Amino acid sequence: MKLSRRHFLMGTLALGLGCARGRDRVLNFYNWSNFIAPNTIRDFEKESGIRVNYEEFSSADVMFAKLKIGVTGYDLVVAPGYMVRRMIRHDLLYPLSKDITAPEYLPHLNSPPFDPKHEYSVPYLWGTTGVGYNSKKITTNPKSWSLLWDKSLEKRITVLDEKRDAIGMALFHLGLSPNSTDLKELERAKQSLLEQRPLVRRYTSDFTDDLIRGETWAALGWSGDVAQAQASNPEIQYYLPDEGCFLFVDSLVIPRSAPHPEAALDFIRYFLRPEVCKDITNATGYANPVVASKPLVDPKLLNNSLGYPPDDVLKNLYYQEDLGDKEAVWDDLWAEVKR
Amino acid sequence: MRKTPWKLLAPFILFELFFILAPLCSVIWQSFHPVSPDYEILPQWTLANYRKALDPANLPILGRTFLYAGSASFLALILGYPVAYFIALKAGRRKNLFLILLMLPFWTSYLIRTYAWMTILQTDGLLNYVLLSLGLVSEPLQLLNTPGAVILGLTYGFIPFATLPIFVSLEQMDKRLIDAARDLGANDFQIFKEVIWPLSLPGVLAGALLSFVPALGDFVAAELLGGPDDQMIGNLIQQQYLGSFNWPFGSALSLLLIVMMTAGVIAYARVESGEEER
Repeated sequence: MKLSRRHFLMGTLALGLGCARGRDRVLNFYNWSNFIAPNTIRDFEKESGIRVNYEEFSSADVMFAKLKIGVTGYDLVVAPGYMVRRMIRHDLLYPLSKDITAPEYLPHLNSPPFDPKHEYSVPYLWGTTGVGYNSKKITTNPKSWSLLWDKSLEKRITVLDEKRDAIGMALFHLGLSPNSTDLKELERAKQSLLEQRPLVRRYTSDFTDDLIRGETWAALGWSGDVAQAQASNPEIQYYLPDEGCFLFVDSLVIPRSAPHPEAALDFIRYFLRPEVCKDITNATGYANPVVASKPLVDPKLLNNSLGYPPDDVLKNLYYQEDLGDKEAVWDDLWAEVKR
Repeated sequence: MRKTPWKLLAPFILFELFFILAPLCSVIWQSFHPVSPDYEILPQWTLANYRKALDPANLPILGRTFLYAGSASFLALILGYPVAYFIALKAGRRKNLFLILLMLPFWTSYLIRTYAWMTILQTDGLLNYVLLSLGLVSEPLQLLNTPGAVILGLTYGFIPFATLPIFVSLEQMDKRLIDAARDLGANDFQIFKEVIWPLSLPGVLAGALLSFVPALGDFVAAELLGGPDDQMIGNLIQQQYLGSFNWPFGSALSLLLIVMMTAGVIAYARVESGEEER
């Protein structure tokens, strides 16, 4: 068929009308990058008739900053637990407990400290911050955070450019509380990070490429990302250091400013179906909260520190807590380490 | 009749007010306010952001910023001059074609082009492959996440800003001066040294400034091509705006940079007017 100018104009016009008319048939979804299955959005659109505008962020701080300064238009946002707490504190979230009938969640997610009754958030995907490493280059079967301070790894490690994970790692390494707000303890963490700095090739949250290609041998990293890296390079292994690790629960929240909260609720209900969330887990390597989907996920991820860690490991995991008025202290510390 | 120029200037003045003065005032205003522990801007006035910005611990990052931006600008001039010279004086009919070719890579986003350098410089990347196949090195070199990579990224990023002003000044030069010099017995080197170079100097200075200033505020090159010891002031500023939420501190840092850039521009204007008087 020949595409005449007139056809083209008609087409654009129809597109414009579609945007204007379908007020409640749109969902603006703001998610972490690489944090969904390739088919999820398409299937949801087909079933619900809702058109999804999907946008990604790679830093939770950027996401928060946008919402805080009043960027509106997002209906559904994925936020890390500590950020959920902070957003509740800033009155940025729409309460959704009355609109969602929660399925049975995994026991350790029943009452997360950032939103104990799930009044504002529904757990989306969860994982851990541990160490990904190249088992061909590092053959010592490491079990401790001290690997990331090993002098033989000069310029061979990357550290996540997220202050919570990075400073938390140093606090775990020193045997201190990973959510510490004690200035003396934080100073010790800073010294420890400066001591580690010569080993760091760069501070980045895109750590998997370097690890896959063998540029780096070890990385402070997120479990699911390491699982994805392992799929491309089987030499990559992951462990949760004995000193303790962070457990993060990235959750679905609806901003108060959401233009289409109903569509967001529809997506949340859709996501909580076992057969939907199992696809997301299999694609991302991150575990989902729904008990009924566990039998459906890739067995490789079960009873494995990468996906669903066994119960004795779960006991050694800590939530990232809201830092309250010490947020700025952490920010400054992290800037001082990096400059 | 005398009032017409003001009317004609009105759109320009409005443009300046909206797009330059208003944002700048907002940055200045923010920089004098403290923030709450949760980064809410408080109504009090303070100099604390400037004190923090002028902290001696920030000196290394400032020095590095000037070093990297200066090196990049210098390299851009050295590489850009012959190109501008060729296009302006030797390309003849194909001048426009070469100008388009010069600009062609810059139709792609700066970010994408910086990512492209990552794939060229990485350990198993193109450059190491070439070096290894030629037998110039026996082990792949670590090229990425080094100061050299950052300077390379900045040079590449801002080279047209150095080249085009040189091109313009060579292009506008009265070509008969070259013939005159030759008639008077000057050889090629003398023609360049005594005629072409002095006449292209305004372009060289403008090119130096136009490539130095954006390189000074850049953060992409250091972020993607640098390592932990290669961060520039732009990275620190970007982190205040997008990482934490400390806009007042970010504003103070930006103003510090603006003041230093302005000093550079004034110095340039002095040299420039000195040239004209000569």
